[in-house]
Amino acid sequence: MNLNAAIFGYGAYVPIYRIRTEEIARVWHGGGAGPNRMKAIASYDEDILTMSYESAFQALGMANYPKIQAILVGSESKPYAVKPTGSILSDILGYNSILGVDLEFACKAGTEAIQLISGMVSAGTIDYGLAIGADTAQGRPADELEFTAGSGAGAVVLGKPNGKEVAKIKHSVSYVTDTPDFWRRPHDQYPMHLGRFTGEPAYFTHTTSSVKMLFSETGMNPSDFKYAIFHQPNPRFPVEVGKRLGFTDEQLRPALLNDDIGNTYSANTLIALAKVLDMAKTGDMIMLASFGSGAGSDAFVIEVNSRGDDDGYVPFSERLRNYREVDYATYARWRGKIQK
Amino acid sequence: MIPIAYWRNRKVYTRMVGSKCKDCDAEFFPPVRICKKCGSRNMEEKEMPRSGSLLAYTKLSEPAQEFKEYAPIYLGLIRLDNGVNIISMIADADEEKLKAGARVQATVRKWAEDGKEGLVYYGYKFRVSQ
Repeated sequence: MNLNAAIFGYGAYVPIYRIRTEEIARVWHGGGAGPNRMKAIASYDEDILTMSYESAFQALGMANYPKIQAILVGSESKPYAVKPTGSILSDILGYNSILGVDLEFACKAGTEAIQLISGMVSAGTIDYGLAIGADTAQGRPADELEFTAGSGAGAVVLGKPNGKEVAKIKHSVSYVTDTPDFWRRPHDQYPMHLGRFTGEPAYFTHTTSSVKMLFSETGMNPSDFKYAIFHQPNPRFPVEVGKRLGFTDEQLRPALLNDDIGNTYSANTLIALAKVLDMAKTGDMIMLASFGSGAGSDAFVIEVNSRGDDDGYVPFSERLRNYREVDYATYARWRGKIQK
Repeated sequence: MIPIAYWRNRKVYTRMVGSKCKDCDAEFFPPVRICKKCGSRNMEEKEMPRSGSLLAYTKLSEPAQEFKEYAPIYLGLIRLDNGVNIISMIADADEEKLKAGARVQATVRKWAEDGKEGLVYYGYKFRVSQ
């Protein structure tokens, strides 16, 4: 679908704490490491509400606090099963005449929020909206998901283009099927998955399908883009899917984050977008494709304008350099893996 | 915590809404109904600045029951940029960085949970600026 929406501010938040996958492997597998070097973990007093607040605060500041009329929060690790994160966050941010909604679609709930708000903005039903993806991803102890399941949040303020935007969202498509690669039943603490099934029939099929649909609808091809952002469940998949679709290392590498922070689920592509927008120049084109298990993929064409005055803005990559490592016992205590 | 009391005070806890005297401009947090400086009742709501400097801190290894699972808790005496002094929990505390004069900024974190079935209570905490 053609969209007439733009990003006026963006924010990315990753908790300060990391655990090395060597430490997880030491505890459960007698040595070795996971596919990534480290993952970010939320502190004992953080959850998706607090991380959403952090990323939203950055995004709203960059957008100069416009009158927001919708806050959509995509996540699969909400603090309440029934009580919207969107409404709590709206209240904390001081916006009450607003649509506050939670969305869920495994790792692509954040890009769903972007799609929906872009649609509302394009249709003229709202002037500005805030789209957020956030997760404190849960991996069952000793399961391979535990190596990568990380924590983080990303936010974008969206409105109609007026020449002062950071970037325009020009086009978006979605591709979904019923694919049982990953799921969590009500009241279960940890998700289930079908191991290798999550690769070919799930991640690769859906991601390539949405991106090919995007190319077909827009007439664009990989050489039209400066940057390509793919969902990063591990360090390998985004590079492999990018190469299959015809993107180069130079287009793919700027967005890569999984080795340092793991898979932040709904926040994954929004955080990568913030990293890329930090370095992008006016006129650069960005292709962004999320993936959510269950399964589906959203793909976007984004055209960069300018971030404008950025006095005091600390780029995301710089903020990422400041971290503290914790051991498995601390991680297990903080993330509720010890039964009391 | 008491859910209704928290609900009534939530903008104080999350947005740091204090009060300002319309007669003498003195600011207060938490909010007061009567100006402690000039005695005026002519008060208005005022959001406090979300940054300040750390004056001192203390470490609680045996906090109250509702915070026990978060021990140790760090409590900071903070002078906000408008000159108001407050006491706040410190998030992501690193004792090496908790020095008098350190710049701090407010964020929102979980304060406590009423078990697994009750409410989650959110509120301001300060952390040392990067």
